[in-house]
Amino acid sequence: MNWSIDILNGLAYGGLLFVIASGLNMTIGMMHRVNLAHGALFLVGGYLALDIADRTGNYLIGLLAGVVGAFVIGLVLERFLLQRVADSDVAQILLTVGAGLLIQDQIRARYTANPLTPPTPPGLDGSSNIGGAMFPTLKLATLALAIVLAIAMTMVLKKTKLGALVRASVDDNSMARSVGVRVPWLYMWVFGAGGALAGFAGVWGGSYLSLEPELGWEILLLGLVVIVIGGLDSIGGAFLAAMIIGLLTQFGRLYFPSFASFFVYGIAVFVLLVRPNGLLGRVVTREA
Amino acid sequence: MSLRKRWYLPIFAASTGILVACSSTGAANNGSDGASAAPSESNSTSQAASPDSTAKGGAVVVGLLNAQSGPWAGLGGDINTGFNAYVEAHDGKLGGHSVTVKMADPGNTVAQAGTSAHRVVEQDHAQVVVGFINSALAYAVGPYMETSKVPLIITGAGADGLTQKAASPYIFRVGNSSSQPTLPLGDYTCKELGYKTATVIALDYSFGWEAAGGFARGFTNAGCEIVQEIYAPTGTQDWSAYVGKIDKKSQVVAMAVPGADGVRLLRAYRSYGVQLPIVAYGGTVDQTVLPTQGDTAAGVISMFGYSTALDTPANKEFMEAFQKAGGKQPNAYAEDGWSAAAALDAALAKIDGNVDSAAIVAALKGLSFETARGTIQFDEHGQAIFDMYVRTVEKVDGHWQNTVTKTLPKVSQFWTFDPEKYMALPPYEKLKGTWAK
Repeated sequence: MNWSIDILNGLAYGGLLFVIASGLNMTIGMMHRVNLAHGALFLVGGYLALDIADRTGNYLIGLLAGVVGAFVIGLVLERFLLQRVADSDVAQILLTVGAGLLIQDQIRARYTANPLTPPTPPGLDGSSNIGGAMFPTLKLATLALAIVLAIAMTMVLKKTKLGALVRASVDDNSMARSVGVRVPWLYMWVFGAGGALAGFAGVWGGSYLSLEPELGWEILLLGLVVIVIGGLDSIGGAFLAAMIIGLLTQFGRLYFPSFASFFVYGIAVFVLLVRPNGLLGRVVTREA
Repeated sequence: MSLRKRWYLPIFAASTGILVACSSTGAANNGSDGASAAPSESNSTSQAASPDSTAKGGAVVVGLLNAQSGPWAGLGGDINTGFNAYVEAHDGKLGGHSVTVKMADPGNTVAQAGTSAHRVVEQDHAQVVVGFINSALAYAVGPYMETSKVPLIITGAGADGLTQKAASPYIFRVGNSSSQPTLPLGDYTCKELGYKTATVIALDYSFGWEAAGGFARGFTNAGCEIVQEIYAPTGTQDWSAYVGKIDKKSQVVAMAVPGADGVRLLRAYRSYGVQLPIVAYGGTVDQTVLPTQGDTAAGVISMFGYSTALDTPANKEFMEAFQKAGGKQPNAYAEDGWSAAAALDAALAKIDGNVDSAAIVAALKGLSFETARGTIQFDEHGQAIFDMYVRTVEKVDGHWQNTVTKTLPKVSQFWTFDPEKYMALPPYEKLKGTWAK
């Protein structure tokens, strides 16, 4: 009995990790744009949702505001900053860290650094009864959400024309351009979508974690670990990685509490030693 | 380009840098007495005092060194605002001397803290320095204060050792030491609340070990029993494993988990339906986090030297002045800043004519003064002795607050123990994990 609750806890934490990492999966994993402003976009989503939901009293309007806000910032970042340095990883790192710091400080000035919690999605507050034990409904919903999100992202990438265009542009940029794909335009929207996912994670995950400006960097690190273990451009890999980290962290905390803070990164080191391309990462045979 | 295979290496390099520079879970935070963060005020560097012909003697320069950047910027801003609010409310004069406040940012690294201390002492000629939230920084700057013979009044940093084994004639502290509120809390929980067995949950670094150890010492000394100790790292996002581990046979759970971690812990505690009553180190439910904790904190009994709900003229004066000075939400950290200024006010009032550091040190020694929380007196190690308040979280007029239910007068950092014997005991970091039977 206790075991099943622990397993469920681990999976639910994994679900949260996947939701957090999903935006990064799109920007860094699929597009190969270094996006270290991911945590800041997460914060933008969460704080905007909190603010707007507070003013309007409507959760959905808040959620929408958070997602759209992060989407727009993502768009602007890609179009006006990152596209100018498309060839330089180092410039992308510096630019996105800088943008992240700016956004974080603006948030601190506007909302203070005290922890704040965006509203819980309606109907998910409280706990459900699972075999006689109380379990937070929000955590169950997070697990379900992660599954839906993973399937939806995979479907869009593999089954739609949009997905085909994105894959083509990333795999062979100049060929895609020469057959008429508007690559910069496409990148802008996809990066925006990655931002929107980060914003959504901020709204959803924020109600689970409570927001504070420093949280952005922790989120970025967790997201990076998940997608690197998963194999960068593999959505299934990221999902698998999130679940493994979730479960191992849960049981690690139970049985080896003094190593608690080591688990997430310890797992990352171990996986990369054994599988340098991540769990489900493609082995690249051709220079990209 | 072989970009594809190796491109994530710079990302890891960069993010490791970020982790070191920005993360609030870094080891450099050890010993700070609150893991939360609070409003950041971008205070300008100095607050010039109007020269006044009624001033008693030479002007006094105070170096104010609370974090303006990094994870402690929020709380640092509150402390600085609290200090400046006191000076403003007294027309730029403390103890009859006109005062110039020189601010510098110690950040969250030992190097920057050292630079900021050197700057205010050597360039600005500060006769006294006020500051520090992160105990590691206070430890690092202590020896410099001693060689330059300039007194340091510590505000937020809580590490016990600063006013015990590492005490110095030049170091005073207006805030509490980490275990100062929890020693009497343990005693109170056993004797007055009547709980005989307890589980302790604390953050896994020196502050948590000291606060948890203080509780355990007070609790076991009163004849009760610790049955379980749980330590979790700062920045724990998912508390379910820890909450699930709590021994349901304990009669009470004692928490020393300030900041956003405290918000997440209480939320998990409630949503997993744990029914055990909670007692806490006061910072766990400080006003910086209480509005966000809301009903998850309802009924938590805690021990602290201050509560915004104190119904005294002195507290009312502090809260109004703090908000007038641009502070957003009065809290215990802001009150530490206010109290540091009150200490200087009382000390400088004893000095006629020219003020130098030696005179301030002499005046601060054993000083007793009034502040928002009540009366403070420095003990022979420089640590403040003050009344501790037993507080219960409840909602009054739509706002969550810590209602004071009992006052324990003049609580010392050694509680009722003999100072020499107490300091001869093994430090709390060695006792971690040995309290539970």
